[in-house]
Amino acid sequence: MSTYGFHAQNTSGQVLISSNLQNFHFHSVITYSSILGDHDTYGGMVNYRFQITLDSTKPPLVFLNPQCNSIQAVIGVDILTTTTSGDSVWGIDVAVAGTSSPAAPKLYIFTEPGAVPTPVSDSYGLTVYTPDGVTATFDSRKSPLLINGGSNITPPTSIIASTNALSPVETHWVEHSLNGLSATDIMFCAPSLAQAEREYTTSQHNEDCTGLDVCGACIGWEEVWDRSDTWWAFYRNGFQIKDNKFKSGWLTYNVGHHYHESESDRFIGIKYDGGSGSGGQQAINNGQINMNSNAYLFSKPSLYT
Amino acid sequence: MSYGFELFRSDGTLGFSSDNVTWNQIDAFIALAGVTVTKTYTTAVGLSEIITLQFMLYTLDPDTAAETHTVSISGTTVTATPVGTQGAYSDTYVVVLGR
Repeated sequence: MSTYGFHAQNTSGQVLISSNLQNFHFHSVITYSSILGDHDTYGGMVNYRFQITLDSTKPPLVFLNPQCNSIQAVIGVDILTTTTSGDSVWGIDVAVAGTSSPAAPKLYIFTEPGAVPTPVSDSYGLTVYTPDGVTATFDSRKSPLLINGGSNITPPTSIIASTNALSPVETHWVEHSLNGLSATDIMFCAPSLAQAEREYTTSQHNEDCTGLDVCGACIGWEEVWDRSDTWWAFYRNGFQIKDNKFKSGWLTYNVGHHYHESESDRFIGIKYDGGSGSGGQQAINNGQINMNSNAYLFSKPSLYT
Repeated sequence: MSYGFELFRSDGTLGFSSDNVTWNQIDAFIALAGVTVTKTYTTAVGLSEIITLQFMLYTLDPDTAAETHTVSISGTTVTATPVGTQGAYSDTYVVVLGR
């Protein structure tokens, strides 16, 4: 620590308050403002858009308080626009797995203390500033973020039960404890980075002999038709509070289908191209990326009512 | 409590205590797609732990796979490195926390 300022740490040597570091403080609880998309295939998904206006260009720390035990995740955060007064309108997208309108979570927003309104009637407590004497790093009146648990977690490497069944299967999920917290009073901050795609292809082939079929050989005119269909699902890593566990799994973020068919004709062994065609949405890839272990944090919604 | 400190709100409820655990924000930055970013923090000297949280930007089509960055921590230096060869690259928000 420098020769001025404020520094407090606990008996484990962890810094609690420092004039050099900003604590996160509670800003608000928000509910979703719109639905960006949904589907009912392979477990289904609803993509909820949340918005929050903050006097800060730093991304908020977002804790997700589930309102159902479906797999869910914050899949993107960005500044949507800037207001005329200079505030940032942040968009936060949260995907929740489910086929029948799974409940959207509540989001608890934490940010730097300068972006949290000062309680008008509260003149008690401690405020710590950086050396400029203006920028607050800690303000006890603004509900500093308290962390009640957390660790690191890795996305499960397996997603589905078999190659032609694309619904995510919970038996593959990675489980951690709730660090002694109650499943009814918990919220988590767990970024979703991992993505995966699985697909399967079916093929059809037909030969139609309009000439004379002699022991399987077509003497005359023959039509040959081939078609392949590829069904794919695109997954994002998600999380759930279920069975008193914190689980890392997958939700089906998008689905698609692609086909290709071709036709050719033969006349006494001579092949004529009958044309080909493709359609549907092309599959993106086949694999999984961003599979690193990532930190997650727990806190309690009841601390911020 | 026999040691430490407690901070109360004007209504008498406990607002903060040295029994609590928290994380402080050292920095938050955007690592642009495909670009390696390295940052060293003098304010992190003396901290017992540093972690990072990463968030993808949603500037991509929902059916587009996108590589984020792998973030490593060495002492008080944080490095965000793009990895992999599949799909596109994504900008990544990196939040650096310490305590």
